[in-house]
Amino acid sequence: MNTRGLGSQLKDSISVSELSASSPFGNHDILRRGFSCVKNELLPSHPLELSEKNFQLNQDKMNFSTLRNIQGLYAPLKLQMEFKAVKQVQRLPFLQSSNLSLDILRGSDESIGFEDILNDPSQSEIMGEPHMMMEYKLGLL
Amino acid sequence: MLQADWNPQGGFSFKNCQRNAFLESSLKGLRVPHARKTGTTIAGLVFQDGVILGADTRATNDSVVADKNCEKIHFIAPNIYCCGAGVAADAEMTTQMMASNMELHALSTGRKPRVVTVTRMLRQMLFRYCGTCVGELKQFWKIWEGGRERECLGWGWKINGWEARARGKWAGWGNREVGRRNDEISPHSYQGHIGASLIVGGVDITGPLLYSVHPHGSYSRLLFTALGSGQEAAISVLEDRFKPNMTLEEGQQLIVEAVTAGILDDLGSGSNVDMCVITQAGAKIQRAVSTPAVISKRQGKYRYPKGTTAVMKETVTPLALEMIEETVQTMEVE
Repeated sequence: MNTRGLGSQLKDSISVSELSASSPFGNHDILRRGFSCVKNELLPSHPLELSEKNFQLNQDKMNFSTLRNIQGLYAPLKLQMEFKAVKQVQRLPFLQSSNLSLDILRGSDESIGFEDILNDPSQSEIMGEPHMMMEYKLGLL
Repeated sequence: MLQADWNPQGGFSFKNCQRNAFLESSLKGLRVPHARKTGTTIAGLVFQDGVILGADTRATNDSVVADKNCEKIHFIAPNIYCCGAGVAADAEMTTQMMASNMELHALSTGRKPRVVTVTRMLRQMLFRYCGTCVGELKQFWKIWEGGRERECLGWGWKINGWEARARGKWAGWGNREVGRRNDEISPHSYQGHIGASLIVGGVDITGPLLYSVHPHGSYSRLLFTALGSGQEAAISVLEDRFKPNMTLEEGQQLIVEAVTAGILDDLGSGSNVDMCVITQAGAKIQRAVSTPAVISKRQGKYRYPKGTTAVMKETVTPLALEMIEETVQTMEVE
């Protein structure tokens, strides 16, 4: 369970896929990802990529700090506890969850943005490999 | 493919950006497909009972007319309409999203939608996707072949470490070779990533309101405005003849004249004038209120009578064909 605060979750680079590779050349799917190049993974390929990755976190940070200034420490603390409780998705890792409670808590169930129209995860054509994802989640991998 | 923190989210996907940049830089003759722009004249004004919006109906694809009769006045709420200029898809999707958001908002607050709400939602969304313009002023160079001579093309913005767009063409800076030559570089040519400029007009509980929103998220509240590639022509007509508190007929006449000025003087605008009148009672859209430019008829006949060109020689070669298969299919005749 991730207990780090919001600030340290901000990403300033694009993540490299970390899996234990059995060989230096293994586990890199050239067909799907192209040739491996560290520079490609460290630098964003589009000016908006980083800002979009961090957007939700930044919004939450801003909202929580405003709430703390207005209503004191307890309000954001309780809300963050509810967020964490709701983020513990009960489904198996490769199954898509609608995150309905999270949306309600955030207030985004009453607005439509590009996240709802484009690239809807429930309609994505790729699915993670179920066995590998379960093994990873259980720490067996 | 498993990733350590694979959390599928909706929204924009930047997976192909690197590949596109690589393709564009490595294949010399590649023409990257451009988004279709509307190349528009849109105008709006406030009159004594409400708001009138006008737009032309041409959509262009670089220099070809892609759509002769497209709709640029979009519905947002029964009392709020919006004209969109810029990239056609961006304007369309943005206004559709705004319409949905306004409906949800009205349902959850239990009140009729207001123009300021639409404007604020638009601004926030456009600013989110405009990209941070923390830039440094840099000199743009062109390196001639051999790498010896450098010619300064001017000053421009280097934004976020990325090659700044100068007049729509990509340039490089410092020691890198410039792909295409740029004559003038202005910082304003860097568009927000959602390239939609919108005129939002409507009549709500507070009265008639008209706002213009720009692609980066700035806005202004005005009594009359024009946007799009034909905005200079339209704005000059509006500036000249606008008076506050006009009647409906005067307002309609002025809007038609403004958009017609844009149609006649700008290559990106054309075809007909659409108009939308919004009052306290409701909104009324009229398509093709006027057609300033009619396709002219051909002046003369261009067919030549037989025998105009003298025949010098005639040879006939019969083709040797043999019948291979013959099928007869009866038709049902009623």
